[in-house]
Amino acid sequence: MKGEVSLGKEFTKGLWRENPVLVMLLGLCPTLAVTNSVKNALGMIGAVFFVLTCSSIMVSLIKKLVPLQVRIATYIVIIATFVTMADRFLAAYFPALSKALGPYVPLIVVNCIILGRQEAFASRHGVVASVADAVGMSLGFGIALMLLSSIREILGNGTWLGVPIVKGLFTPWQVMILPAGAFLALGVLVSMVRYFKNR
Amino acid sequence: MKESFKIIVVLTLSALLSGAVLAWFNQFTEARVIENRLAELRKSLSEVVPGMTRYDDLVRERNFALYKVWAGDSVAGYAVEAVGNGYQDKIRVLFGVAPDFSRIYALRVLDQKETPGLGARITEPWYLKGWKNRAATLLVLVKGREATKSNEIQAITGATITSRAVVSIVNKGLVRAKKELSNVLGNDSKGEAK
Repeated sequence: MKGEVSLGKEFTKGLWRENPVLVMLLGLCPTLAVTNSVKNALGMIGAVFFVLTCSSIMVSLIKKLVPLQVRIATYIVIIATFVTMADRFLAAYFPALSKALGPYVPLIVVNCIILGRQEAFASRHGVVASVADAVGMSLGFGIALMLLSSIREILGNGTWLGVPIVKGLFTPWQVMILPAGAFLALGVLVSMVRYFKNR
Repeated sequence: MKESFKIIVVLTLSALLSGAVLAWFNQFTEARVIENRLAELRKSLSEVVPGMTRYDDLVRERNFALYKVWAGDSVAGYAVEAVGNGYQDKIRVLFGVAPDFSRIYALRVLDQKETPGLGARITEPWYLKGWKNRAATLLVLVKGREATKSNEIQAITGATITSRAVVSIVNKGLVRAKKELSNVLGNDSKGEAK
């Protein structure tokens, strides 16, 4: 195990320096699929936040008990348990959101941000540091999804969180809420992040 | 040997624990999930058959369902849930029919993944209005003009495939519903004859 870890540093690295979506380009499948509206993005952010934080706590607690050979299998079982809980919770209390997110909530099981954090961080650090890491990464994921979904919903539908905000300014650019718009918006966003980071 | 034993124990325990946690958690959500589904169906049914107070399931399949809808003690009509291929994916619709199958009361789109701004406009009120009080016979799609006859449905400009798909889903649904009902009625009369 590494010596002292700075909690603040573990927390903030996910926001910008090691942002899971914009810098490490992980978890792009849900990122591209659910950012067609801000509401869907918020649902996905909430689910990922819950799953990532809970999984990191569990993994950091049981890290010494799990044999090296089956660690991935064990992590996946833990992640799948929390994902199923999140999925059932959404289906019970937010049926419309659950329907809009469709298969992308169950698919969090195979989201590489979550498994990646268990393997790279939670399985090597204590509970507190793992929570700081997980919350930071979730927020980084959240920032990226909010940026993407805001761009796509405003340009593609003329609304933000369902509220019309560009009345008459321009005709909504429908391609932005289609899959092609996701790739366009993400490409522009990632190249901008790269530009500012390398300056 | 010792190592492989440890692997078996860890994997078995984590799977068992995960199952137990999920079974426990399901208690809190299952009832609400079923309730949500029923409430949604009830809402759609009351939108396509006027005056709905309760309904019976007559047929319930993956791609077809037939409901008998009651208004108080009299039959208000039937509701047909039908599925077919749209432009992108399956389209699932629900429509209400008068008890004598003379006309379609109204139509709702339950599920669709058509192109936003084109095919997806089948969920918009102005399009659904075009389905109000149509003749429950073979429906035809008309393009570039308003529907004048009672069996005509106006197409959405730029979404001919989707418009055509909805009409064909409803036509097939109607045929199937009539067949199912004649079976049910046939069985009933046989029962009475005994």
